[in-house]
Amino acid sequence: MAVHTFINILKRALDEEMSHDSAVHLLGEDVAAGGAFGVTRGLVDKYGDHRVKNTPISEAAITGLATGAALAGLKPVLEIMFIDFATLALDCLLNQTAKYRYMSGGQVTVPLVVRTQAGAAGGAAAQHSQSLETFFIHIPGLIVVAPSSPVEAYGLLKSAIRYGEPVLFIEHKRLYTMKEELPDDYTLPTIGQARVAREGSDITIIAYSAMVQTALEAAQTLASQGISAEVLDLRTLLPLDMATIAQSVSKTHRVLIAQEAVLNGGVAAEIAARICSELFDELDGPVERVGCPFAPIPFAPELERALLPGKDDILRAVHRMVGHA
Amino acid sequence: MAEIIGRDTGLCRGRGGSMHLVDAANGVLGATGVVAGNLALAAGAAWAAQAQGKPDISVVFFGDGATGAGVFHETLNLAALWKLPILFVCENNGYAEFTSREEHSNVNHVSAFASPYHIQNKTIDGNDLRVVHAEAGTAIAGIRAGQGPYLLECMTFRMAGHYVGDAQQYRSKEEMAAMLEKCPIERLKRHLLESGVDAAELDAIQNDATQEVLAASDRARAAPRPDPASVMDDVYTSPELHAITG
Repeated sequence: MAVHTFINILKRALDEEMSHDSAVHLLGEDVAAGGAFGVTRGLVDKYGDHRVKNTPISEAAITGLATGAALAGLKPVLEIMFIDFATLALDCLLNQTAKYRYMSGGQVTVPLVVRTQAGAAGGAAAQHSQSLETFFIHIPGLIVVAPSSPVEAYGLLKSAIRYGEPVLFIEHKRLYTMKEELPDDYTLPTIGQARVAREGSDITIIAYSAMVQTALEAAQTLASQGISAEVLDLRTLLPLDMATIAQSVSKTHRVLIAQEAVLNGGVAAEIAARICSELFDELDGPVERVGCPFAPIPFAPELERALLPGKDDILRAVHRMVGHA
Repeated sequence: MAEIIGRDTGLCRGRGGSMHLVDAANGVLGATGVVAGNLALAAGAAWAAQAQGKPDISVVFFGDGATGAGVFHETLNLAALWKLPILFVCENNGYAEFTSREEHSNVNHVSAFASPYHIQNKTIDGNDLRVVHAEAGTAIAGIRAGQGPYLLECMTFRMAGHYVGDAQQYRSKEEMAAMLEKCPIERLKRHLLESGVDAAELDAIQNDATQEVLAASDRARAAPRPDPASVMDDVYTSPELHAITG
C-alpha cells in the first residue's frame, strides 16, 4: 500500500487513464504547467502538448471546444480552475453538453469530464471559495460527482473518465493536502452509488465532499458520548443514490444532512424532500440540515470561520435531534 | 422533415425540432438554439480531427448577430492559436433578429474580426452561388493543407422574416423588393440560361426538387408521433440511471 495526497492521486488517476486510452486528452488554463494546484504537473512531459493543452482564459469557448471534441471521438478532461468560474461555462454545460445526447435522439454521446474545485480553505474570499454544486444538480443529462478523500477521488475520477456521460467532478481544495493509503486490492466505484463511510445506529449523517471528513470527526466525538452516528458519503450528487439512503434511514430513523453550501434550494433540501416523500414512515423526527448561512464567503479568517459550517454545528444538530445536551 | 414536425421517424426522434437538427451519420453535428453556441463545439470537432490525425475539417455556419457573443471571439482566438481545421461561414444578412447591423455593431464586416487573430478571411457576395462555391473551395483547400482556420463572410439577406409569420415591420418595401432581385436561385437560373442551358431542363430539375420536398413532407406527415412513454429515453445512456435520478 502506498500513501498519496489528494493532488498526487488525482494525477495518478489521470496518468493511468491517459496511458490506458489514447482518446483521453487534458485541457484547461495552465494545465500543462500543472494547473493552479499542481494536479496535472508533469503530465505534459509524458504525453506531450498535443494531449495536455493549455488554453486561454476562455471558459465558455474551452467548455464548448471540449464538448465538441467529445462529440467527435475524444474523451476530454477539462479543468475549470475554480467552480466560481464555471458560471462562465454554464451556457455550454446547461444548453449543449448535458442536452446533446437527448436533443439528438441518442445519436451522439458526450464523454466529457469537467474537473473543477470548490469550497473554502482559508482566505480565498467570495469569488474563489464557493460551493456551487446546486446549480448543476438541476441539469438533466449531467452527472455530478464530489469525492470526499484521496482514494475516493482516485476511483471516482477513473470511473468518471470511463463512464461515457458528461460528468462534473468537483474537488474540494481543503482536501488537496489530505493523505490516504490506496489499498492494493482497490476496485473502482460505480458512478451513482453512495457508500457508508462509518456505520452507526442512532442517526444518519448524510454528507459529501469535504463535509464527509467533518462528519466523520463529529461521529468520533459522538461515539465517545454514547451516540452511534452512521455517516453516508453520497459520492454523486446527481444522480442521488436513494437506495443506500433508504437502507440507512430504515436503520437509524433520524437524518441530518450536512453541506458546506448555503442551504437555500440546495443538495440537502433536495435530499430532505425525497426522504420526506419516500421514507416518511421511517422517520422518528424531522430531517435536519447543516449548511452555510446565506452570505458570501468573507476574506478575514475570523469571518470565514464564523460563517462556515463545521464539526460543532453537526454536534449541536445531532444533540438536538437525539435529545442529548 | 419528420424532425421539423416532431415525428418519431425524425433524425432526433422528435426531441430536437427545427432548432436542434443532428445527423451524426452524415457528419452534421447539429444546430443550436443558442446564438454562437455552435462555434466552440465546431472548433472542438476540428480539434478532435486534428488530435486523431483525421483529414476531416469542421464547417460552422452563423449569422452576423453571433459576433455580439463573447464565445465568438474566444473561439476565433482558440482556432487561430491551435491552427484548427475549421471554416467559419458567416451568413451576414444585415439583421440580428429584428435589429439591423448598424444598430448592434460599429464593425461593418464580420471578416474584420478575423484579422487581429491572423485568421485568413474574405467577404463575398453570398447570393452568387458560383462565387460561394469557388471561394469556399479555395478556403477549404487551404484548411486541408494545414493553413489553419478561415472565415468566409457571405453577404446575403433574408428572403423572409426571422420566423414564420414575422410581419417584418422593421424592413422597408423598397429594401425587400431590391433583395428579391438578387435571389440566388433566380441569378443562377439567369446565368445558366445565358450559358445556353435548355430552359426545359432547368424546369425539370426544379420540378424534381419540388417533388422531392413534397414527398418528404408527405412521408413526415404520415409518420408516427413519438410515444409519450419514451420521453425519458436518452437523457442518460444507462437506463439504470433513470431509475435513480427519480
